[in-house]
Amino acid sequence: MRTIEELNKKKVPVVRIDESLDKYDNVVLFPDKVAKANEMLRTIGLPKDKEKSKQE
Amino acid sequence: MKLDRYELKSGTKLTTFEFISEGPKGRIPKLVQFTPTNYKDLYNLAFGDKDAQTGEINDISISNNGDSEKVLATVVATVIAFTDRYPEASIYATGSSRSRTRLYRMGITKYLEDARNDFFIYGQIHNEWEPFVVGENYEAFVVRRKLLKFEI
Repeated sequence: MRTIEELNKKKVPVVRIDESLDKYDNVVLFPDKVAKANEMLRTIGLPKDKEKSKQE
Repeated sequence: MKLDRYELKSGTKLTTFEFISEGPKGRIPKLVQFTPTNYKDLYNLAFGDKDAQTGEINDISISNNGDSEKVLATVVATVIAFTDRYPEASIYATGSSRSRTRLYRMGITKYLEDARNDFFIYGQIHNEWEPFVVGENYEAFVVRRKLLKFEI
């Protein structure tokens, strides 16, 4: 059996599903941050694919 | 027992995560949320403290609980879990203050070697995006999962 430490070192973390958190599904908890993100992205757009290819 | 990151809980859609920061200031619940933006498959990442009494969220407070690295590692873990469920997603993140953004930058730098295997990482500086370079004073970040390519 693997220990918690070993499991935590795995890349994909162990996540316990807690249905009580589903109440946040339709709630924006950080509206200012989302508004700021939308405004920033409207202004400068997204990273271009050519930049993506540089990292491949 | 020393853990690299905190135990994570999530709702069934893996868009909101919760963990408990533990340190000299006590146990502080933290929420991480990935919220859709106006752009297809682009989500905003934000996290903050949840008031245990009122349930209110605060993304400005600095809890100084002596565990910022562990908190950051846990937030990174949410990115991995989220993009594992939604591999087409890109994630935008910026801090609620310069110091918080700097913390993000330090976190990306710390995990960069590992992260570059699985993610494209961009930094925003002077209103432009560029592939993330260590030491640049970025204002925001976008990360995108590298998708496996199969050739037949």
